[in-house]
Amino acid sequence: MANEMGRNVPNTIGQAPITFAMIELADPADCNSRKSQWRAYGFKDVTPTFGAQSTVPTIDGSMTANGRAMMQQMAGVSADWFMISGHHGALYHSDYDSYTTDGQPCNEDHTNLDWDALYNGEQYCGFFNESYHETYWSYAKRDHHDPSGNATGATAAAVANAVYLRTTDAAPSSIAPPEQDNAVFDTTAWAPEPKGIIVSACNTLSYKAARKAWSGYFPNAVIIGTTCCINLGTQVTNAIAAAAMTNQQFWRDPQSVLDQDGMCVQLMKQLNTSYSTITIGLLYKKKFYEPSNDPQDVE
Amino acid sequence: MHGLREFEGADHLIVHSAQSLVAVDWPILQHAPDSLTLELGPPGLGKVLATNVTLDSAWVVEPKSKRILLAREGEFDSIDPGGRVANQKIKVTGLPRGAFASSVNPDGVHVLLVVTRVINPDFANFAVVMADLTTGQLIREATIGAGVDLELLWDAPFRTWVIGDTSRGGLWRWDGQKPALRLAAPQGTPVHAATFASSPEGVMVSALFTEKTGATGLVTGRAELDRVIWTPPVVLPGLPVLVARRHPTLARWACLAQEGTRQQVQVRDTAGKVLAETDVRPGVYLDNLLWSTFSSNLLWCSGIRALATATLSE
Repeated sequence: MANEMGRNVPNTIGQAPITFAMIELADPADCNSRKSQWRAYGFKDVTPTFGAQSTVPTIDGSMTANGRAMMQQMAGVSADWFMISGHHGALYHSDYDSYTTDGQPCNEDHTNLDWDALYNGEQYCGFFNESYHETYWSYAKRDHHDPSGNATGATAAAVANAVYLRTTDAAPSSIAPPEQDNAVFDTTAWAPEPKGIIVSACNTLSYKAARKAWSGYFPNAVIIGTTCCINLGTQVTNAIAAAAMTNQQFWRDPQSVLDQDGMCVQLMKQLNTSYSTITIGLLYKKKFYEPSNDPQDVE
Repeated sequence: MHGLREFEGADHLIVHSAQSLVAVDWPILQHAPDSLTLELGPPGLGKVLATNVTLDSAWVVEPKSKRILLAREGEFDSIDPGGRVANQKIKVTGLPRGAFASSVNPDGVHVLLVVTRVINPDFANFAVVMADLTTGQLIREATIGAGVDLELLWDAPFRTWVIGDTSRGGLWRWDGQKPALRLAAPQGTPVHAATFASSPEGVMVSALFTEKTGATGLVTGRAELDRVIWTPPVVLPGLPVLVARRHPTLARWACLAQEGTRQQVQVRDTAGKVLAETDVRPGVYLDNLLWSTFSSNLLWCSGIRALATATLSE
């Protein structure tokens, strides 16, 4: 088998090992893609339980118990980069009803939804898996949050496997009974701040409360996420991989790149060249960079 | 680099580089000095065929006319890579902005596209539409809603489209009229990547999963009209395999394997045995493999910043 397999060997001698950890709650293609690229740089996956595997498992179904145990351990892990992937949105679908223009419940086409009010006003958001999506998210309400009733079979299993990781303040248990712990937030109790975090799902940086939480917990990390609905997480990893700035040096020390004048805006622009229908933003040092606006302070 | 297709032979490529489609001759790239980093146009090498091409402007080479059909909002750009015929616009009413994959049937009349379906403010998934290039009409498939990457193929023996779920290995079969038929993914194996190939026997599915031991397993199947005939899984010894793509005519699989910084391109047989392998040079990162349609021994190996070939020799 003859081959012609490329060129340009980077010098990594004497460079510190870079570590990363991942939580996948839905389709794992985006985490698998990023993990493969990072491992090709020689970075080490320090995700508890799953780090030695070549692929990233989805925490749902039969993997839920192992996944929950892994996330508990992850709160004790220090990593240079974190990546969280899954579904992301408001606490419940029924929360949209609080942001309509006519005081009526949100209609099927969402034509009566005040989108700005939703994204600026929703207090409680999080990542979640498909089991949470098809139970709590789809059917629960803040004043009636038991989606299972007397459910049996698949519905009862989905309720049992539902996983939600808050990306805002935690909702009171009186309106949201499932665990809401976000292991990455919990690392801030003891670990040094990571270099960066990729939040790969819908609207991870659209909600003001989520931006505030991420910036509050990680003021010096670069946080890369979406400002729109996406179809799947690989759109985030594709956009990141295609940005000229995201070379090995960036992943090793993003602060040395982004602390230079204009580089956050440049990165944000590069992240938004790959798709015409997907928008990516970033948080860095309490500023929010997105394609449709000038940089804003995160309040 | 986001994608490539061969054009009139394995030496002539159309490459989606940055935001352009570029026609470039492989020998020019292949014989460039090792120390040189090549940039494809503009302003680098190659002939620019189209600009403002994003990952959601799907394109395909129409097999009869050899023209590129590039999806834009409300129309296709029809481009002759050879420059012999002027570019044309083909209007298609309702074609949305954002098409993520496309396939064209052999007569060049119908183009299948993956588009976005917005469910609510926090959810969107993929739907499938078919453009009729003769009438300019768009036909929407009503039942498919997928939160995974989809591969599109024309299944000649059954004269239907196949829409492949690249995460779980299931597929839909659609005749362009009735609601699509769902064909189940392999059961009992947590698939992490699947590919689909048109072969003379029909569409072949190749699905990778991770064994409890950590080894990679491969389960393959042939799509019948209403079900997939799966063969017993085989273990793929060696480095974990991230991509396995079946040859369009032969029972052999191109595999991209990786452990840590080491990547390897392998060719395996039905039993999973390695027939040939080569290490990827350090510092080069690949993420996809594509069999040549012009040379049965040639394999295209690509990454976002790398393009290589592997040639099988006796």
